[in-house]
Amino acid sequence: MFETVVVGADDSPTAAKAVDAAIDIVALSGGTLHIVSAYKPENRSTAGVPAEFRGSVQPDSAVRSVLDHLSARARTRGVAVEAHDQRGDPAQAILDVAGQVGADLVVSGSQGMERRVLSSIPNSIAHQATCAVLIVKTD
Amino acid sequence: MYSTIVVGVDDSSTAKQAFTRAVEFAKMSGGTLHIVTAYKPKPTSGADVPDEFRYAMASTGEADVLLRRLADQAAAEGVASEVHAATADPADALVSVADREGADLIVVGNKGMKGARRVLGSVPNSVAHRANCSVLILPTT
Repeated sequence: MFETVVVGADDSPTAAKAVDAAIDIVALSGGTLHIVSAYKPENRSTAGVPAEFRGSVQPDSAVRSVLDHLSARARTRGVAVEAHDQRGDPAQAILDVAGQVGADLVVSGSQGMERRVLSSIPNSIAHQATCAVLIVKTD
Repeated sequence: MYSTIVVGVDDSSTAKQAFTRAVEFAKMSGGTLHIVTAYKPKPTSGADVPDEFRYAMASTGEADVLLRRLADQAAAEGVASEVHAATADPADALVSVADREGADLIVVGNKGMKGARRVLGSVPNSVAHRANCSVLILPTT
C-alpha cells in the first residue's frame, strides 16, 4: 500500500512537514517517493544581466536546491526518491507527475485549506486527484 | 506513525472499500482505529415503548450492527478499534470524535469530492477543511 507516493514541495516549513509525512509512509511501504517542485515562469526580464549570470537568475535553480535538500533528507531515512522540477502551476504539476508515475498517494500540506479558497493547492489536489490524497496538518 | 486514526463509515459499498484500505493503513502504521458512523434516529414516537428500551431503540439497530461487523473486520487484521455511533452530521461526527480522541489522522472515502458534487458540503470536503489533524482521502469507485 502506498508504494508510489508523490509530494509537492517548496522551501516553506509547511512543505517540509508534508515531505516528512510522505517519507514516513514510504519508509514503511518500501516504495518510491517522488518530490515535485514547481515554479511559475516569471516575466522578469534578463535584459541588462550579463550573459554569464543569466543562468543563476533562473527560478529553477532555487527549485533544484529545494529538491536536492529534500531528496537528501529522504535518502538518510533509506527511502528511494526521485525529484521532479516542473514549470507551471504547482497543483497541476503535482497532478501531472502523479499521473506519469502512476502514484497511489499524493501528499500535500494543509496550508491554504481553511481559507476555503478553491484555488488553494491542497484543495485542487483533493478534488482532482484520482488516487488517495493525504492532507498533512501543517498549520 | 499515526497512532489514533478516525475512519468514517456508512452502509455504502464505497465506504466499505475505503474502510478496507483504512484497516490496511492502520495495520501498516500501527495505530488504533476509531470507527465512526453517523445516523439519524428514526422519528418513532416511542410512546408505547417502555422507558428502559427507548435508548436501545434509538441507538442500536443498523448503525451498531455495521460498527460491530467492521470492528470484527479490523480485529481479523490485528488492528485494535473502538466504535462510535453519532446522531450528528457525518462531517461533524468525524471532526468531533477526532478532537475528543486526540486523533492524528482522519480517513474518509472520496465520495462526493469530484464532478457535479464537488461543491462544499460533501463529507470529505467538509472534513478536509475543518479537521484539526491530517486527513487521508481514499479513492472509491
